[in-house]
Amino acid sequence: MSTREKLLLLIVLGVAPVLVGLATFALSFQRAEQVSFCADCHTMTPWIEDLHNPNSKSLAAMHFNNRWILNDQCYTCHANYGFLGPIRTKLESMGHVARYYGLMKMPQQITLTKPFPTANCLQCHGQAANWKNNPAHVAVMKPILAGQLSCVTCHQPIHTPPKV
Amino acid sequence: MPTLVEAALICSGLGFLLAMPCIIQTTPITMMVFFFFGVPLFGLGFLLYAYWVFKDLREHGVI
Repeated sequence: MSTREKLLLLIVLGVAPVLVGLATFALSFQRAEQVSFCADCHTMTPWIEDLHNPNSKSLAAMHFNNRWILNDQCYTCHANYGFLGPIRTKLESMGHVARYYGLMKMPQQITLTKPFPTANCLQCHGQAANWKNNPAHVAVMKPILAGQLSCVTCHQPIHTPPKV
Repeated sequence: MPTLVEAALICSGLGFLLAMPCIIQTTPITMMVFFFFGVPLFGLGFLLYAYWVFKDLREHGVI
């Protein structure tokens, strides 16, 4: 085998897979943030139906239908923030997909694995004047900022999925 | 062409084949297929090639 052929093999078997792999990783992780990606799993159908229901009074539906969150509405609320937040969220999501395809035990009822972090709401609302100056918030500002009082304690319902 | 290189090319080719659906339309299925099968196939292809290079260099007394 000539040197030229060996170099060609190195490109085909070494360089090209790395480039294709990185491109696929970047592209698929970015697309996985879209609502349409979450909607691909039938388990999520009731939640997606609620999201698209213009009459729904759930927080999720109002954020979606009024475009209070412009894009990637599921991901914006459910991805944790901070340095490792998005990576941890994506790893956990891969676990969800593995469960969906039977690679891991699927729970009977879908629930949050841990309390919803207040920081996820404050990411957008935290610096808003109408949030900071609201007397109801001012009264409990300390426990909210300390993470002792969750936004969802008062603001309900979050999701109103039909037939669950 | 040596069998090892042929096997490496087949593995890598399958890896590319599994990456294509994920690039064209990312769904949970295409994503999982690429991550769980495509990426290991890329790795296996490269390892087979590296092993062949190592064997070739030994046969020629370079190492």
